[in-house]
Amino acid sequence: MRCNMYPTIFGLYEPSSIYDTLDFLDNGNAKIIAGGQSLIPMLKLRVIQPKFLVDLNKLRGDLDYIEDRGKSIGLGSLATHAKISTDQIVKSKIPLLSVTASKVGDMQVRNLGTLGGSVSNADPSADYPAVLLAYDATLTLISSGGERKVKASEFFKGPFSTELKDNEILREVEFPVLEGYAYKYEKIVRRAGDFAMVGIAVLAKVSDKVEDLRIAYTGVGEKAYRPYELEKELVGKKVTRDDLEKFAEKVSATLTPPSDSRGSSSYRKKVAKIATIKTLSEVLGVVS
Amino acid sequence: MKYSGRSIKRLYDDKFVTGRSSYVDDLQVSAMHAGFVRSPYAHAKIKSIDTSEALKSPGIVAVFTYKDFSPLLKRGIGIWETYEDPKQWKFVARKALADNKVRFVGEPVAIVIGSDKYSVRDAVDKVNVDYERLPSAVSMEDALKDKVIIHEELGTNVGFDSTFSGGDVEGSFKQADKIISVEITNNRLIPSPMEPRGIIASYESGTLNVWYSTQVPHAARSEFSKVLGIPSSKIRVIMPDVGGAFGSKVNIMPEDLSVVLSSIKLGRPVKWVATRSEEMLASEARHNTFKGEVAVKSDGTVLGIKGDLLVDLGSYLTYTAPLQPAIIPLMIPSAYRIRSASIRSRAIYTNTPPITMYRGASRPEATFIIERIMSTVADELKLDDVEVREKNLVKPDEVPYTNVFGLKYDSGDYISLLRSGVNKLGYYDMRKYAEEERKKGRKVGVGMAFYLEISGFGPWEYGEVRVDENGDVIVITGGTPHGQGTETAIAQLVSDALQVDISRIRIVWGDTEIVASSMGTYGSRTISAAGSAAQVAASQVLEKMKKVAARIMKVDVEEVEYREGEFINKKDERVKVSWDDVAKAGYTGTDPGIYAQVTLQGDVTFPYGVHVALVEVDDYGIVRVKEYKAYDDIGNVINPALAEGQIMGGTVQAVGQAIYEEAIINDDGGLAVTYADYFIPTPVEVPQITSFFAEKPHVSAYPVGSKGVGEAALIVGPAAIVRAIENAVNKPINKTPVRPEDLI
Ligand SMILES: Cc1cc2nc3c(=O)[nH]c(=O)nc-3n(C[C@H](O)[C@H](O)[C@H](O)COP(=O)(O)OP(=O)(O)OC[C@H]3O[C@@H](n4cnc5c(N)ncnc54)[C@H](O)[C@@H]3O)c2cc1C
Repeated sequence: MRCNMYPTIFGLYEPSSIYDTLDFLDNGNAKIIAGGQSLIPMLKLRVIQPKFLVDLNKLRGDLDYIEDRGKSIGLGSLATHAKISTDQIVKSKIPLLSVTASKVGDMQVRNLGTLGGSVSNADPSADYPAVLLAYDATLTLISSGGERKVKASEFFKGPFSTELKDNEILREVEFPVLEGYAYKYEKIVRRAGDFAMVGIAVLAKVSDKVEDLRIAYTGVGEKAYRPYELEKELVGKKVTRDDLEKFAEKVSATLTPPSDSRGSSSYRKKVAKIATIKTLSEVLGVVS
Repeated sequence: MKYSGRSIKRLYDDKFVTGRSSYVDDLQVSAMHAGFVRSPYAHAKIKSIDTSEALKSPGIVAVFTYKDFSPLLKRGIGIWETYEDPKQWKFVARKALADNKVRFVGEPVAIVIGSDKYSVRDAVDKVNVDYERLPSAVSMEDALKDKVIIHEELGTNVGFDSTFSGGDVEGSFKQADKIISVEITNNRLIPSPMEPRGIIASYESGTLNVWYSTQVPHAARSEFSKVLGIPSSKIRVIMPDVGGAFGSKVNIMPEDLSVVLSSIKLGRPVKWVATRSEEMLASEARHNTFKGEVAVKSDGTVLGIKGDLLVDLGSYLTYTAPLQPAIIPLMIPSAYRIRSASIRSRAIYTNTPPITMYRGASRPEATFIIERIMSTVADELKLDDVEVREKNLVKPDEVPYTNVFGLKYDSGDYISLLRSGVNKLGYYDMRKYAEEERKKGRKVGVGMAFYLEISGFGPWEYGEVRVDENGDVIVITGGTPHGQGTETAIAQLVSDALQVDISRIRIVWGDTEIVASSMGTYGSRTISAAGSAAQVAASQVLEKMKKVAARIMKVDVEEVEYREGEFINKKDERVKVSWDDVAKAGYTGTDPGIYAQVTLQGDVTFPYGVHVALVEVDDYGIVRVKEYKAYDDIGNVINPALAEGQIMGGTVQAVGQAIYEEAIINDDGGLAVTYADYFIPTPVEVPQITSFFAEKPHVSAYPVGSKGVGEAALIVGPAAIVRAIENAVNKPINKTPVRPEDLI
């Protein structure tokens, strides 16, 4: 029964370097702790009962970088939501990420929670996964065996499930710089600071017609979702209100959102549809 | 200068603001820690409990079950007999732990005691309970069928069944131009004080000391005494700082009792502080449905109401749950001249967490019902909301007024208040604004609601004033403020009565060995009841001071007048003695000591008012309450800032009840929400709040003339907000909370 609050006993390991961390992870039965904003509640609820926590915060200096590489921006996994939302490089080069970070949780959560923690946790209602899909971001995973790069579209597997192996950590997320894109993150919540009931991330390049469109959803299924095929229907066109309604209807029909205290599945589908029309007309400049 | 009527800054807030207050959990007592093994099922037989593994767990001292405690119990936890009549109820007094059956998900089955809370939590998982699941009755509809009986001894799930009637209902329905049907629901809430409940019990040489997060230390002492058979004189209950209660901490929990029993069995202090999820199970509230018919004339006159009220009790009758089904019907007529009514009120046991009282207890339910009725009547007859209410309100020359069920309203001018309130709050301008905005495509709405509530609740309250030899004043009050700041208002009243500076006054409360007797803080009663008792005690103390002054000045006491710190000989004003000198003299010579103790009787009193809300609904059906305005006649206002604070707090909870908070129970009887999705409003959801109090208040019979304001906004707010939502979306709504999906 739920009288939870107190975690089971665990050991705390404070690694001196990333390699040290990876060696420790090879022993198994250990969990990384970054901001602790998802991990601590899970420990208290006893959903997870690891033998050891490995505290990445000691390596913050090495792992919370925001690096401008010209065509892309690399973010170390320990960059906090607060840092991402206020950083000038992020603001000017990958603004969709910047606005999204400012909408994660409340200020306390943003001050502690990290990009890597949120992405690794893969909550089906988290905000970042939709943004990563929209940008087609690349994730760098590292273990004692070496490094590998994974596309966002392959990284997220399902609810709280990703491509990460037990002995791997997420080191970095790299976002391409998309010049001249309009963007918006529409987050629908019942109460401030809450997880998204529906979240929509949009990136679009628009001239007299739509040159490119990326739209990704969170909160509407087992993981963030991007309707790649449907997106194409709007590309190369001068999109009308009618097109948007049809598009939104089709997207909404493919969704299988959960029913919970935030809203029923059918309500979320309605919201996704309305939000799609609203967000796209704004971003694509469609007048109703 | 007079203090009463002014917004004096709260006296004892520094510790709260700087985080230095001490709640039960902050007390340094070397106690063992307790934790509970809880039922995973809504309804099941307990076949056996195996504690052997848990007892082997490191740090564990004891595991107790029902069998260990039952020999120590004289009886189970009763009901609040000051206000509730056990003869009207079918109930089984709840024991400390589940006996042969569990009746809700989360019910405590065993208590584990150990050296620290982590070991205890680990050991809780090692207690093996063998259950045999039984079919359950989670909803009131199911429970009413009596197919599953929750308490076999009772033979039914209906705990209370009483029909409240008055006037000629049949005649009214015959005379009616129209009969309107209504169905009105308040879903289940959770009071959610910031400090969860907690208790430390220590039993030594026949004396029981309890540090308890409560609002009723004396009632708790008396209940512990009756349950344990220990005389009250050997029980001390101390209320440390209490971080909110909202009525829920009048409730005495089986967990509390288990902790006390454990301390008796072990002969050492035992402590338990609820986790947030335990707090969510500890007290739940509201959960009622009214189905009925209203007989009306086409001019809007309500002739009669008949209907059926169902109130969920959860699986056990708590100390405070009997209030609701007994008071809701009485208050449904509100301030309206409804001369016939028949309401059958039934309270139902279900396999869900037990219900307790919560801010407003019964008046929010009654007000929501009657205000929905008034608004529905307005809609059906195409009349204006204010007009319908004005047509039905009791006229000023009819007050004191006895309602159709025999409840007597003390004082008020409801119609004038409605008129000036509507004016002062700018209701019609707001309506016009909303209409203009709707033409532009925004879903903006404005709603109003009127209320008459019952507060004060007698039967008496305690006040004591002591003046020491330095002339400083200690006031011991039977009130038990726990966040409201009423101690400041009491200090204002005593300062005025004694004409001494407020800095010389200290207010003390919440310890059964310091306070001779007490009812406590609940039911919007503290300023009226405890404030009056303190004021009367102060005037008695002043009489004693005058006697001492007369002795010093060698005059008759009738010749002494007291003015601003000086006792003056009326015949020769040059002859006077100071307050301080009299205080010193009061402890020399004959009849030393300057104290007065007062147990002041009191009665119910009826505040009333009109509130207005402005809301906007977005494309997703999500509502924001943008403005909330209140105009109340609460009798004399002792401290406007404190009173306004109560309106604000009540408003926030009203916003919660109207559109956010819902203690969803799943089909298996489990609470389906945590504080992650039981949406208590954050500052972002709080509207712009404006509060006015009537310039010419109608006073109560209490010496201080106040009526009460602690619950007003939560009593009427949900009705005003729901009405505003209806106005915004042009769609009827008859329940709280209104969920976004109800609106698109
Ligand atoms: C009140 C509240 C509101 C919230 N609201 C939102 C919201 O609106 N939107 C939203 O998206 N999120 C929300 N969150 C979640 C928040 O964003 C968390 O910060 C985030 O999910 C986890 O980041 P963290 O750094 O705290 O990770 P932690 O909690 O420390 O870790 C989370 C998980 O990721 C693993 N992990 C952490 N870092 C790494 C790494 N580098 N490599 C591999 N694994 C790693 C951990 O082992 C753990 O399993 C909310 C949280 C709270 C408490």
